Amino acid sequence: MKNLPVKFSTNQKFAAAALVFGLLAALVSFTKSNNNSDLDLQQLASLVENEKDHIDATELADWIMQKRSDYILIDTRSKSDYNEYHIPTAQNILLQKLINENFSAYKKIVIYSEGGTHGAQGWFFLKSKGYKEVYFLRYGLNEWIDDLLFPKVSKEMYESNSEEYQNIARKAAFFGGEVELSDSTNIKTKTYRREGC
Amino acid sequence: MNAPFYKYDIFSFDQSLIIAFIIGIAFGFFLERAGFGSSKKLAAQFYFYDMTVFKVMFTAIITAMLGLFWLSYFGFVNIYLIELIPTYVLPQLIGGLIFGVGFVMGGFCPGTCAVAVTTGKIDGLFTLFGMMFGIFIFGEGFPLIENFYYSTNAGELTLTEYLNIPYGVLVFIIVIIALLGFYGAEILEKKFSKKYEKLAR
Amino acid sequence: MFKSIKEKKAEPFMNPYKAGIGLGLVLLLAFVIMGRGLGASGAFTSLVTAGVNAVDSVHAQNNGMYSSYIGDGKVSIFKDWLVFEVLGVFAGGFISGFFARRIKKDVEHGPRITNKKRLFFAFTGGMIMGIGAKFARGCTSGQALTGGALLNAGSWIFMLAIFAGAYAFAYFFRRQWI
Repeated sequence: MKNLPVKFSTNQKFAAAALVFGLLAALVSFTKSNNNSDLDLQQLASLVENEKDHIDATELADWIMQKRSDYILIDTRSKSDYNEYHIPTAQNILLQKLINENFSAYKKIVIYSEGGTHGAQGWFFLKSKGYKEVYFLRYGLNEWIDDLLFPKVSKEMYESNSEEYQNIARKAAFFGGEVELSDSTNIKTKTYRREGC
Repeated sequence: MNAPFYKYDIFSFDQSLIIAFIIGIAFGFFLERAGFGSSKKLAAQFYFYDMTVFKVMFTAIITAMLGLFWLSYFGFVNIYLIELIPTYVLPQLIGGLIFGVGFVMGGFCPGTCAVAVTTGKIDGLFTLFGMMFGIFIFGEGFPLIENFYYSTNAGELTLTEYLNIPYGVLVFIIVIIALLGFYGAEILEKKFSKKYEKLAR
Repeated sequence: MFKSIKEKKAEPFMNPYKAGIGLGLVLLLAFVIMGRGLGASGAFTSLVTAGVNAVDSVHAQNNGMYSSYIGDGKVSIFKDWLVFEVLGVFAGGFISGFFARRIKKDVEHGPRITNKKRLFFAFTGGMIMGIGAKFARGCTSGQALTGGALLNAGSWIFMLAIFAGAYAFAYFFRRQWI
């Protein structure tokens, strides 16, 4: 059916080419990975756009409630602000000190500020130092207070006592907050995004 | 660099639809060239006497993978702009198992049943209708499985991130695995087609 | 390619590795031009969604899956990259089949089964496949091929699971094929 010797060598040529290009790819990436101080702006930009640079208050709350030990939580505000209130388990490290600290003992670094700006800037500093998993609270402590400590729920949701409501209420209570009833009826409904092909 | 071109607004959405059609033609063309308009050939993969599915699939994967790596390395393409479907571990695992069962039962996958239909295969047509019915069932039942559907979301995750292996090294490893696979496939084919000689084309 | 038209005989299939390279280059082209890969199941979902939406628009809009394919409702469901791509797949398959003289009305199956049974399994298998594809957010084209080349973790999980599931159940369907 097939002229075996001829076909075989064509396939062998393809295989050899693949092998060569693959080997070169491996070698090339070893030379690249030697500079740890390489600032890959493209990668950073893509992290930002793909929203892998931040976490939200509820996710952080989960981590704290689960007593996870693989992250460090950093509060970049002033000492007096920190002493007045800070997210439980947070350490107070100002930006000037942040850039000199060594966080290699932690898998993840989570950083927050009052509104999010310094958190974002701290994120950039840490990423440029080469830390792999750095996240900030997008809207800072404000987000923690508005979304987690004192979340607003509609009357319908409060009365429904659904599992979702109970989750929200439980988390708020855990950190010493409580649910707030909102009068407005424009609740953010879940928008479904199409994914995949 | 200005590639992927569409992501750099080199052409419009409407123009991209024409490009979609052309790319689709090339896609369908090669699927049929490989013989994937035939359910027997596709299903044969799972009886080891015709490993074309594996050969074509993995050759395509390493071709595109190598091409992308090198285009990215020389700065011709910004790979970070290429859309990545998020990883949902459990749904994709379970979905894959289910899909596999359906594949060996129906003898087609969605792309290949399109090719089968336009080359006259009635069983391809039935598979296509079945698939749409399956999608319909899924849609109607969506509220029931919604929580599972969105569970175990790992976000956009690549193997390089997950395994913590440099991109180029991983490319090389996959090439090796593929080539070893091809070698093994040739052996399996010879062994099993003797068994089912009258059925292999 | 043209020889077989004169001879009116079905051409043998292309060397799988060559076809694979061709396919890989098409995929690469999609990456470079569009910044996305190929796909198939999504286009059929659009078709189903359009149908459901036409029959009961309210139900469709309130459903998580259908609504994601309807979008904001301002653009036609069919004005979609994947839909056009799949139309191309139909066309490309026909073109290749035409030049290879492989267009033939047929129900393919092994020697131990009837046409009717085969068609039943084709439909049922397709149904199961459609469900699996929806859970996984793609099929062999969009996830296995595209995601495979992109080293997408979920795609590789999906791809390996397909092979596992298919091989595991191949024994039960052997009468259809061999």
